[in-house]
Amino acid sequence: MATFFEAIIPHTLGSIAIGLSETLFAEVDRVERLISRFDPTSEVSRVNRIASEKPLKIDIELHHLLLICQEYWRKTEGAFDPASFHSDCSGDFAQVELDTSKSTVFFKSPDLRLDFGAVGKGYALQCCRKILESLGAKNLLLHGGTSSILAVGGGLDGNGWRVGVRNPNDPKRPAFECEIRLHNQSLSTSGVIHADENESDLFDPGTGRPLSGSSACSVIANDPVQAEILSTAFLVMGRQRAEDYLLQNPDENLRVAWLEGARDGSPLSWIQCEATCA
Amino acid sequence: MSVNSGRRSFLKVAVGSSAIAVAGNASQSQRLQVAVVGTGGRGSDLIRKLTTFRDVEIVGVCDNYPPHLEHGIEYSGGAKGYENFSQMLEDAKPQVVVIATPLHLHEEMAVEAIDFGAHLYCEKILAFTVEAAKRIVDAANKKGTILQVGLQKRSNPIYEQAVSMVQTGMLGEITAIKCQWHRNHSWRRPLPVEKRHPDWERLDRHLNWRLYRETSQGLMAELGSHQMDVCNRILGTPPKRVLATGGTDFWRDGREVCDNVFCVYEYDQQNSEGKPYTVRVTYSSLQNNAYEGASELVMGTQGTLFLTSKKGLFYREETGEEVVIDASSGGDTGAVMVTSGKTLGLKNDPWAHRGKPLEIDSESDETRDALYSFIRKVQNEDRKTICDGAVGLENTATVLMANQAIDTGGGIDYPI
Repeated sequence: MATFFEAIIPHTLGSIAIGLSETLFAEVDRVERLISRFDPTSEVSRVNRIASEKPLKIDIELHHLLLICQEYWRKTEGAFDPASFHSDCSGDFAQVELDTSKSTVFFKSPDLRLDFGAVGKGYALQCCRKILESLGAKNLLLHGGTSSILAVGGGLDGNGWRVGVRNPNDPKRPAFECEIRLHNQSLSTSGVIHADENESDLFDPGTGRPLSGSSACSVIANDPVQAEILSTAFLVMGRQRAEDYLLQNPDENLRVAWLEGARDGSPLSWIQCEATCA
Repeated sequence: MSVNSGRRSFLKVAVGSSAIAVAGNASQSQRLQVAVVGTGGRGSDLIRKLTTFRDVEIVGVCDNYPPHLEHGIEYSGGAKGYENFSQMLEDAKPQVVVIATPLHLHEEMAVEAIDFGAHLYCEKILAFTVEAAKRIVDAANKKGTILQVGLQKRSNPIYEQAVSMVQTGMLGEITAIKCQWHRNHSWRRPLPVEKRHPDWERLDRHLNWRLYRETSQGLMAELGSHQMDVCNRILGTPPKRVLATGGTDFWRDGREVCDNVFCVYEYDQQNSEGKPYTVRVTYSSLQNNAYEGASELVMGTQGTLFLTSKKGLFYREETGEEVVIDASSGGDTGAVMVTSGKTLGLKNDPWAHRGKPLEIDSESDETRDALYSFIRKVQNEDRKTICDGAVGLENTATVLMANQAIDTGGGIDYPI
């Protein structure tokens, strides 16, 4: 995931907070070792090397994650696509064959590779949440690289974990574009481009080209994987298609904020929100 | 004398294991029936690697802690779960048993599995005492059991390469080895209940078994075993002696095992002229500083190996080389050195002496490759596994002699 994770844990006993953070970071490392395509010893690297030779029996957790990805690939009509071609960076998950009964994966093209960049942080947060539930942890905030956040409980004052959304196009703007309070929710923010970049690090799976424009999108969801996938997929789709998606896939738990790169006035608007947050 | 530094070119060597390409080739009809006992973190890992082999069927998973058993069942793709080991053997009739339980349980389960007729993959270290390890090895030898102990670096191609480099003399004579497993980590798992809960103590002893002397042999067994195995392999012999000290100085949370240990092992070696000398190996494990993590530094008269599980680096020593000087010819070729008006600068970089290393990379998954190798040995009825009973016994003794040295104490008190 090539980023840092940070946990904010209100505590009365330091040793409990230390134990909890160690457990969470160990879990993030475990997920990294499973799905990183940059770690040659990971299960995903093994898949990327040889899954085009024949159907490959893989770890059950990775298989499950691939099924989730397949579902979102379909729902987003390819705007989210963790399978991409080496040669031109375009994506085509249709080239990935999954056999659930045998827990196998097969690439129909040797040029294909899996890249969980647009889902990995959210998946790590989801795995952490499972552990937190099993341990009965009731109040903490965990984030990966500040762009993917998991809030457990209601924060320091019980009124929600306070998170500010900043305009990525203009880091000099001191004020938050808005402040969001999270209660047992996840927030994921993706931006096409940051002030210090010339070209987006996000690719349109349809064309294989970097995204252009200056939008950013924040998605609040109960499920960190859903928030992570949709925040990037919506940028790929553009605002109009994102709005269409929300009409076609109604989900009252989703909140979606859209930032367009304006430098004057507030560029943030909500596509879908609670009555109280407008 | 002149030093030839131009030869120190940059090389990159990738080592891989052929296991990766052929894994999962065997036909469905010969699927090996495997049962796993102990489905906590390590056991779950083993189960998950086993499920990636086509010719393995997990016929049972066993754990007496229900949340761990649930994980085991889930990761195995729905194998039958058992709370009782004997019942699993009787009911699931596995051909292979994998033991990943807390250390104090290894002997009882290993001997039972061997008597039952199963082949055995046992996590390190082989047993809680040297005597128990001997009993396991004796039972396995008597029964013809194929036994492999889970010392991870045995299946890592970087270490395979390192051992070959030492054996072929690339490092010259080995003079010392420095091993460490340092991390900044309490080693304590959080529990699902609060401390005032009546079950807290029982659960703590169960889940944090590594921290208590009744169930654990501490850092040397859990971490040091892998690295001391590397030393024994590289030096081709077990150590003859150890000095060691350790204590619980930082994590004063009720644990009974040391949170830091320091050992000096002595090994008998012979130099190139057949004369005996002693190699000293230092081993340390810390739980409050992670600099240089888990690594081994093998020092020889001709070079140094820095080893980690994902990368190895080989540095040649800067040593003098013979040059031919032709005194009869004039000019540069006959001079022993050339001087000019400029004083040559000396690099201030503290690492300048190291030069550019030869890199050894690996794409191998140690745990998966260890299991893969074991499964093949079972299929081929070959008892010479990559880490057999004799290695497991030697390793147990190597590790436990340090713990005994720590308990016995020694040293000289200040002032003399």
